Amino acid sequence: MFTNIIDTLFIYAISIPVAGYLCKKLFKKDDIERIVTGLLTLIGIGLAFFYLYAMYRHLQGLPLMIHVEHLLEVSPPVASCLEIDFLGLFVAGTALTLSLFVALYSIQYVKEYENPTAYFTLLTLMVTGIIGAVFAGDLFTLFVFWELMSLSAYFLVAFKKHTWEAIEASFKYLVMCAAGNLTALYGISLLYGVTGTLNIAGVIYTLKNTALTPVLLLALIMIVIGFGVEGSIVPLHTWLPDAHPAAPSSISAMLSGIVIETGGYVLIRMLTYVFDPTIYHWQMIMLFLAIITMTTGNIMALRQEDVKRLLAYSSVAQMGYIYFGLSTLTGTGLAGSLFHIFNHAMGKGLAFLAVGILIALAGTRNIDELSGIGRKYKFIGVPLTIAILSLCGTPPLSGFWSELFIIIGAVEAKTTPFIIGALIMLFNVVLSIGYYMFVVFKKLIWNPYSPTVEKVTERTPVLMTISVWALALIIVIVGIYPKIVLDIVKLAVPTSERIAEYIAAILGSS
Amino acid sequence: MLPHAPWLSWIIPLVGAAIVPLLSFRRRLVEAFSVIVAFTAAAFAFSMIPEVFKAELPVEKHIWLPILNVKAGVILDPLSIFMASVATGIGALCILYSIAYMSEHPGYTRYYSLMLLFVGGMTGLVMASNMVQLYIFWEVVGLCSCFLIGFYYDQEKARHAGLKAFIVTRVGDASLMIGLALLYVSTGTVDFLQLANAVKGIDMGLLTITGLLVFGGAIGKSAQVPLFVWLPDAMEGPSTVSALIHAATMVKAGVYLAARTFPIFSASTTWLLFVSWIGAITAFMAATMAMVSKDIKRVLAYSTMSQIGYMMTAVGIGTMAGIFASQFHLMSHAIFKALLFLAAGCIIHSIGTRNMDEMGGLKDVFPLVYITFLIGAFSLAGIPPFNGFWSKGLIILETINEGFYGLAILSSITAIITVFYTFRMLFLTFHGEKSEYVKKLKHIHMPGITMYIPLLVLAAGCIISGFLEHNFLEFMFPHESFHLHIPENLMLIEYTISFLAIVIGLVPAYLLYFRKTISPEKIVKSSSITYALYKLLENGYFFDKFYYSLSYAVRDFAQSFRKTHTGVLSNNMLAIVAMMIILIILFITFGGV
Repeated sequence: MFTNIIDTLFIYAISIPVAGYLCKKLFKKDDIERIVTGLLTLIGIGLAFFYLYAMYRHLQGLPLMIHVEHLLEVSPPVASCLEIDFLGLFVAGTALTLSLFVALYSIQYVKEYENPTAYFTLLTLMVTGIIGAVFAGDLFTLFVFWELMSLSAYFLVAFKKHTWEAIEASFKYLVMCAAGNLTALYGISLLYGVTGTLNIAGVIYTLKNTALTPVLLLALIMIVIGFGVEGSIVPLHTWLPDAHPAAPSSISAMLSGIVIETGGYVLIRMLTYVFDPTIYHWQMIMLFLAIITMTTGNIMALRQEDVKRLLAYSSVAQMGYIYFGLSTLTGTGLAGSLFHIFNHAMGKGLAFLAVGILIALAGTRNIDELSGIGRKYKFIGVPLTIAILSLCGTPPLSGFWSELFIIIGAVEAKTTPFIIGALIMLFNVVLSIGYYMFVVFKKLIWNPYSPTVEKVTERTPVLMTISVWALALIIVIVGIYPKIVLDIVKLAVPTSERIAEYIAAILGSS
Repeated sequence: MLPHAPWLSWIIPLVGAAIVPLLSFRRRLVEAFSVIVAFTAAAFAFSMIPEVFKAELPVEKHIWLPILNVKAGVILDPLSIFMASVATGIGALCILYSIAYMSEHPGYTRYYSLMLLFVGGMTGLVMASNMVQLYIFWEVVGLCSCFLIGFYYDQEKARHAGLKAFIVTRVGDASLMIGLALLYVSTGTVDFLQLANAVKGIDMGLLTITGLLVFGGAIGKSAQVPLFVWLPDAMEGPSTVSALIHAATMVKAGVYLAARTFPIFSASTTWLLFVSWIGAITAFMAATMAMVSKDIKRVLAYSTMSQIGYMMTAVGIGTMAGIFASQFHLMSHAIFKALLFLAAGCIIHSIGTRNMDEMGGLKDVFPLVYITFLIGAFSLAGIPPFNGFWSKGLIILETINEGFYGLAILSSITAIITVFYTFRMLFLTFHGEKSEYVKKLKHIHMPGITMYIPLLVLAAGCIISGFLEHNFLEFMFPHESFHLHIPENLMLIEYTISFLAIVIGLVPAYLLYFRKTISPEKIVKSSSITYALYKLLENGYFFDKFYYSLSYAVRDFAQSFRKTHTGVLSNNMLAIVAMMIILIILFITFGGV
């Protein structure tokens, strides 16, 4: 019904609780329940990934390279539909790649939690929500899947429900994102009021011939704010430094790696496709927000004692880079933004997963208490180093390329504000080295062992180590040979021709 | 040429670096493997030398970045082949020397892997055919230096020095990156060969700015003023690493970048002036700082900065003869500085201190080291017939020849100071009475044979390479009938300057540190001016202090900025409302409603 990618995920999301219940009833051990549900999640996401690859091959054969899936018998713009173009495919591919390794990691990681079935069901649902939101062809479908993603995320943040911290963080996340989502919904309803359709292509088509009115501007502002809460635009980012540390590390990786990027994706889609920058002039405002976001994130990250909170703030900064690339509106800049979504997903996902293992071993999140642990556990320390080096844009790791593209894109925009913006971004990158290298790397890896770390004697869990190394390998390979990802990015960059093709593919020749 | 040498000369060490961890179960295996890999790479690099004299240089390119249309490729010209030979040659000697030097350290896997990566990165940097590829290796080199300087991470100083090198050079790299972006946007290409033609159309102001930004990268990497603060601290690494950083990799990258981009930016006289003056000022300031340093490796570090400054000055003269002089001095410096560091490393390895006050009278203890160090020191001071005399003389000669008298005077003063600090170092270390520290040492373990081989090879290089000026000229300009047009009387002036510099520099050093007729402490304390001057030099003109206070200011700001994040939900919700109002105002003001 929803393309076989989403269908597969749905089927697994339904069958995991059933399987988990049966396991609980049939076997007395919790381990079996955890392993069975975990494996089902892994298989589900793996299958979805396989179907996504099939879709990639299918798209290449299509004349406009856009696949439209009707959800009802009626054709758009009246009814809901899913559309899959390379932009969606790219983000979905990123999401599935990361969640595949997160699922593998979780099989061992959730050992200490009470209810693995619920965990894996929610994880699968969250992935489903992300993929659905990314593939949505109309604003209604987008919102439904968006809420599915957000709801699963609230519960996952509160998964350690016996701690007050998790409950508080989840509540904060719930209240802020609910407010954001409703603001976005209001913006969407305003758009519907003006254009009479929810279909994105239909909205674009109608807005082309509509003059700029205050109502449309309000719709734009509400959509930016609404999706900006999840997409962590400063000052809407305040849920993030609470939610990330409180959540289980695998969920922090998902939240930071792909959930906030989905917010970024929606903004890229809405701003470039729906709100024509030549009419709405949002470029300078996005530039302003991007600079505020990256600078605030980096400055806040400088003096954190909690390693996960530090990484959470650095995610805010990284989102700023993505918005900066978006605001340049040049082909290279947008390509940089999209590529950065991938790189940040891999890099920050890896950082959270690696740090998660270390935290689980040492039993603390305090950086000083974790001192030297990355050296004691070399097999975790090396991938962690790769992750932070990629995040601060060091070649030949993948994070370098997106930063280079964003900088080139900004210079290509050829106006003074963007060149100043490029300088500010470079300043931010240097600032970020201040905490990535001087805090995370130096303290976690180079510094002498702390008393807490000296006591740790457990061995590193195998599956978790494998998933961490797999992500590190992706970062290195893509860094050395970025063509494998750039070939897709090139097809995903929103240009005016691509927007025209998008309208043509969904609305047909009419 | 060996098959695919332009590629394999850097791919072999890079792949070798990846293989080393797999062999970590046996120390001997790692050592043997690394030495073989390093010498193989050097063989590949040296095999390219005859290619220069052929008419057509083969170039291979592979598509690599679909969005920027960048093709990975190698550039084969005298400059790149020369630099590749220096990097792999000195690198191979350093790795050979390491076998004895690092024989007791348990982190041998990490060490050899990083050393090979360092050499491979540098060779890749000089062989890169475009700016993007160069930038990648540029950062790889920076990263390796960070990890190698911080190699002894059980010491806080080493950890800090490593990361300091990383962040300071990254500041320069930020400038290089934006320069690269400007260059790409204004010309549409990043390929060096195409760039030289492509920049002809663009605006001179833009070209100058771009050139200065690109040169900013070189300032960071080559430790020029004002981004030199990382180099003196980089002494915390093993001596072999220092030798590699100073002689073959890292700091030479900046000179290479300036020489490589010379055909692109040479149209801008502002760029040339900037490059030459930065070089001359660095040369002078570094030399003055070297006069007061107590740490033997620090003196050598400052002398590197100073000599790199000379090379930059030569590039900035703006003639092909200037480029030639800079490369000639680069070769001399590579040889004598590697020699000095490795010789100093022998002493540090044996007696376990870097402080020159704790040395003294070592010439009887290490006769062979003394002789080789002496040869290196003579080269550094520019005493004939050692190589430093010829190459440094050529640079000063060129500045006079092209009419840059300011540069010539500053460079000549620097030459005097160079003689002074070199002999100060020599006298303090090897001559005079043995210090209390040395006397107390019960057991001095002598350097091994693998440490002597590189010393002897390099010492021979110091003596021979100065006489190869004409062969080197032929090598650098194989297809043009290029001659250095130097009037006879200028030669005479230059020889006089060199001679005077030696005399003026040597006499006070001899009196102060050899005969000890005057105490240097007394001079410092004689008046408040000399004392202030001493403090100024000892603190490196307070650049370091300035950067630290800057970073503390950022840190304190970050600390106080944290107060804005209350974590109270009501405030956070208020932010959403505030954001709404701000966006509405912004859109009404800038959005054009």
